[in-house]
Amino acid sequence: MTSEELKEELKQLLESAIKETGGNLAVSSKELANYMSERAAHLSTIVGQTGFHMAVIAERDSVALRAGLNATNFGDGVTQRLVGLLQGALALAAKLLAV
Amino acid sequence: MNRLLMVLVFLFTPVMGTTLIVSCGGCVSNPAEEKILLPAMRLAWTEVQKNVQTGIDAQLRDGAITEEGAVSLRDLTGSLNIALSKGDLEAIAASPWEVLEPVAQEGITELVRSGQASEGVAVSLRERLKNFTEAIQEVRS
Repeated sequence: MTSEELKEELKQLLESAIKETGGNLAVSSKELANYMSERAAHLSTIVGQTGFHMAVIAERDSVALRAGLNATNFGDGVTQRLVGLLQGALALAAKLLAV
Repeated sequence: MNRLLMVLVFLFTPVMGTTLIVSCGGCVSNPAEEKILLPAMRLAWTEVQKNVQTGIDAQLRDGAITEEGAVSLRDLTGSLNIALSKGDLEAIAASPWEVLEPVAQEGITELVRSGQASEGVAVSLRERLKNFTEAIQEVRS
């Protein structure tokens, strides 16, 4: 998977998720997908290193902060599920890029 | 290539749609909170707080701070924890993050030094810390 393909995949994923929740992001889905792709690329370089799981969680948190998950657009329950999606997407993307 | 998208959307979309309906009652309508990333900040704080704690322990062990200083830092950490839990924006804005941030950095360094994290992992932890700092600044603005 190329970097551009990953960005497009992530963009589609984010748009689907946001559409379902009815919320809004503080940034465009393209901008966030670019950031996610950048962070996944970093994760792909450290797959298997000591503390990798901590890095995945840290990158998930960074993406959530950049996404602008606020209390107005997203209730806590929705946030939790979005966060789960972000973490899963980052971990999978990192491993795909690392192959 | 589409497997990533399909699998994740299949797994999460039905749950997310249902949850939105259920959780709307908990949504906050205060316009001031529209730009405040409280859910994301609380999420990040769970782990950032651990970095701060590790930093306090390391500084105390190395003699960089006294036991009294450690207690003071723990109190500041506890205050920010309460402010974030309550969503008290004034208290979050007033928190001395400039004091705690370097301690969190020290905590990340300690994780590398003790072999619990690689340098590459530390890059991710520092990226989160940077984003959390920006969120604090957003609350203050």
